Amino acid sequence: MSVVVREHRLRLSHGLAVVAALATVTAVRVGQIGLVAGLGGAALLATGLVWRSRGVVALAGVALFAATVLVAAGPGGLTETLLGAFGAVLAADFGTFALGIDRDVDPSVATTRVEALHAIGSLTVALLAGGLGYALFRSVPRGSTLGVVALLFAAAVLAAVLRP
Amino acid sequence: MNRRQLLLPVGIVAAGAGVVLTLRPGLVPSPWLTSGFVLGVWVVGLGGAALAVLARLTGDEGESRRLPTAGERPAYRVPGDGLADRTAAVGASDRDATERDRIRDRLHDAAVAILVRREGIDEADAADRVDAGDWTADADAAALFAGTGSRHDHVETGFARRVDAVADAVAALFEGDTSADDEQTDASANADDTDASGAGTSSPGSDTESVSLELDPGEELLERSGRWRGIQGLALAVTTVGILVGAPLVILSGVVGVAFAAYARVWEAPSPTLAVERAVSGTDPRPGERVEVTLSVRNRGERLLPDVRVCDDVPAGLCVVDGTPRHTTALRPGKTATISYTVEAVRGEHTFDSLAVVTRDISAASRRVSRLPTESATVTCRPAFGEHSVSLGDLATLLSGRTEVAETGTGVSFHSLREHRRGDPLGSLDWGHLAKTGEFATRRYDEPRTVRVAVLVDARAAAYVTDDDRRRRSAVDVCACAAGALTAGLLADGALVGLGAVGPRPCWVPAGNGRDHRERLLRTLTSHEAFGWEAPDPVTADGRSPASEQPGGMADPTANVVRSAAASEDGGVTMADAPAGGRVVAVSDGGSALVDERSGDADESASPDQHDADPDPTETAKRLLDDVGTRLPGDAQVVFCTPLVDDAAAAVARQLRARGHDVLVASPDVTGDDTPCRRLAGVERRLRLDGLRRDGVAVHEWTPPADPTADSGWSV
Repeated sequence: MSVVVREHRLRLSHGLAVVAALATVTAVRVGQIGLVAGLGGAALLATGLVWRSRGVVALAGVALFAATVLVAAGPGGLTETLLGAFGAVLAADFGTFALGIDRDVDPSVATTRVEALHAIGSLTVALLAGGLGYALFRSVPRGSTLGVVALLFAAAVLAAVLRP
Repeated sequence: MNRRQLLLPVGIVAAGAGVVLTLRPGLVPSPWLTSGFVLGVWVVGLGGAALAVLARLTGDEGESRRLPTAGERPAYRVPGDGLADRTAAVGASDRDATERDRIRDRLHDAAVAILVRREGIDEADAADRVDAGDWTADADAAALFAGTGSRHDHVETGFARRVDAVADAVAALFEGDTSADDEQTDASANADDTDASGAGTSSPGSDTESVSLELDPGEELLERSGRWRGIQGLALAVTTVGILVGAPLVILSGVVGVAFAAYARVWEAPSPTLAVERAVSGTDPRPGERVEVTLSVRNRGERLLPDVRVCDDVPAGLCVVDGTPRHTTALRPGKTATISYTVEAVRGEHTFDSLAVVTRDISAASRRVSRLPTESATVTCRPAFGEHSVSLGDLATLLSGRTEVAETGTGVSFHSLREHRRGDPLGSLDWGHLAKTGEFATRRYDEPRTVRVAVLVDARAAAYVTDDDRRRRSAVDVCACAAGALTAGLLADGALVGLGAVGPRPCWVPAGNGRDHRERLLRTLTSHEAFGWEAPDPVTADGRSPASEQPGGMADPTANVVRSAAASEDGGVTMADAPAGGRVVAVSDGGSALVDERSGDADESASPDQHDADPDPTETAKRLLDDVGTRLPGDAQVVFCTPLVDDAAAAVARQLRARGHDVLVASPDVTGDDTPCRRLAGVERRLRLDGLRRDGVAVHEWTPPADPTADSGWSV
């Protein structure tokens, strides 16, 4: 009986996760603190991918997102904010997806098609939501904080209610 | 009205208010109202986000619903590992005192037995020495039994260390005893070889994590994967932070969470509509031969399957040596994915009849887990049992094929002379006697009676152990192969041979002889589930095996009985249909017997190391023999193949002897020696062997080859 030794295989999702993390780092480079947090998040992502730890990859996503928030609250502009935020979420998404594939499939199996489909889906959502956010930000008058909060509250409540 | 129904209008009102307030920011004049509302959302949002992120980081994606693993032989335990686990799990507190005392009692018994054997003293004196602590120089070992008489119902530290010390001390005493024994048997030498060969296997467990799918064929389960868990909380938190710091861009970044939260809710994992074809390159391989399995999965539905993961259900025992039975792909309608892998054949009838499938939606937020039934493909691997019968040598001589009886009859051996009577055949006249005495006399010959031998295999859960946790060959497989070799040899010698399993999965083939009967026995050893590669299920509280339970509380009356032809050409073995409420079993005299359904037997402790928590081994043995014991012919000699890793197995042998059978225990040594508890288990087994010998039970032990694919090479 042979002993099966599981090996790593570099998959498309690994690469996309790193690219997304680098996009976030690029977006947050305008702020010093944000850059530090972004680099930390990217390092965490790499660590999580190497260690195959979903928790660490998720934490990396949070760190990258925090970096974006820090930049958005400071020197960041609209483009940096959207790029950083979506980059952070996509990095965590692609990273955890890659780990799931690693866990379920042997290294010898090519999974590029599945990963590409997943990536296209997530990127499409990011582009659509980013475009919508961009349009909203440009069109909504200043000073409507309470309305935004109410909308957010509604979204949270409805999401909880409509959860299957 | 439930919580959701209450929250729904709240959400709708909030959404409407949000739209209005966004378009008309100055609609609410009171700054206190605005600030209070914002503050409330901020607190709720941050708190919820913190909880969500915490859950995301600490949780994982439904480990129990992962794509299962396959193609790895079951991981059997090594005798002694159960004791090690129990020792590691037991605490130092008063609450665990009972469990500690159970473990202590077991070790105490072993130490006493060794002293009795080594010193030749009686048990009471040996117990006194053990209690006094002067039986060993190891202070830790001696300390375990200090104050045994008053029980250890207080906090006790260092228990695990002391258990290991006692196990080592007992093993050392035993080894010293056996090395000084001039009459050490060849078998013990074999056992030593086994111990040496197993010394390098110190790491228990498998190299890969094993995952099983608890679904029956045809069952399906839709569930959330949880991978987007926390995204809503993140959005809420970011927005509230944005409000707090007054940064619109931060608020905007919350849209990311909202978008992906919605994305995760839009899709649902598609139901797999797959057409599966499976082909195997050989259906009757020899052990060790490789069989290529090719699986074609076609999407016969109308929808794209963006993420479909499949794992062929490789039957237990077969080991994948090339390729993989797991695959992931995306399948458009009408497209086919092909998987190919190679398994190494081992004894058994292996049926491929299902496939585990996990589909996901494109966001991977939900998954549908199912087990699809497929057309079955069977691979039957039967070792050449007969080829090994010669090497059984000494064991076979203990079971002579024929025995002489007082009756005279049609045999060939001369018995006596009697006076000639009218009608005696001319050929029976003793012409020599006539010449000598002038009187007619008739020769009488012995009536030969063929002995019946019942070969019983220990197939309890406790017997699913191995001496090498990497190779994973269970003692049940070893015993089944030994039983096959014995059976072939005995049949060739003219004996009537029956076969049975001692365990919760009843199996009994009545004694018979002839070519057909031989085929039936070997086929049973090859393919009957009682000798399968997976251990039987643990019994329920009422002692019944869940696997044998059917609606209405009655087990399938025919499932576990070896069916045979209505009347074989040579053996006169018959089988009738089972009437309600009982099971008809084949009997050797051509009739049939109705027996009650038996329970799953209470022997089935998951580990042999739990034997001291079980009931009296004798009672357990009686229950084990409730079924097969009643079917044994009264004059049958019994060969009991067992690894003898618990007291119940030894009690079975004694019970068989008490019922009047000549018993021979054939015991493979499957104990390891690389941890203290494993060494202790090995010593306990040897003590059981000695005990059986003292009780008049013939014992034969041997060292089995570790490789289950070996088609030869095992010897006594």
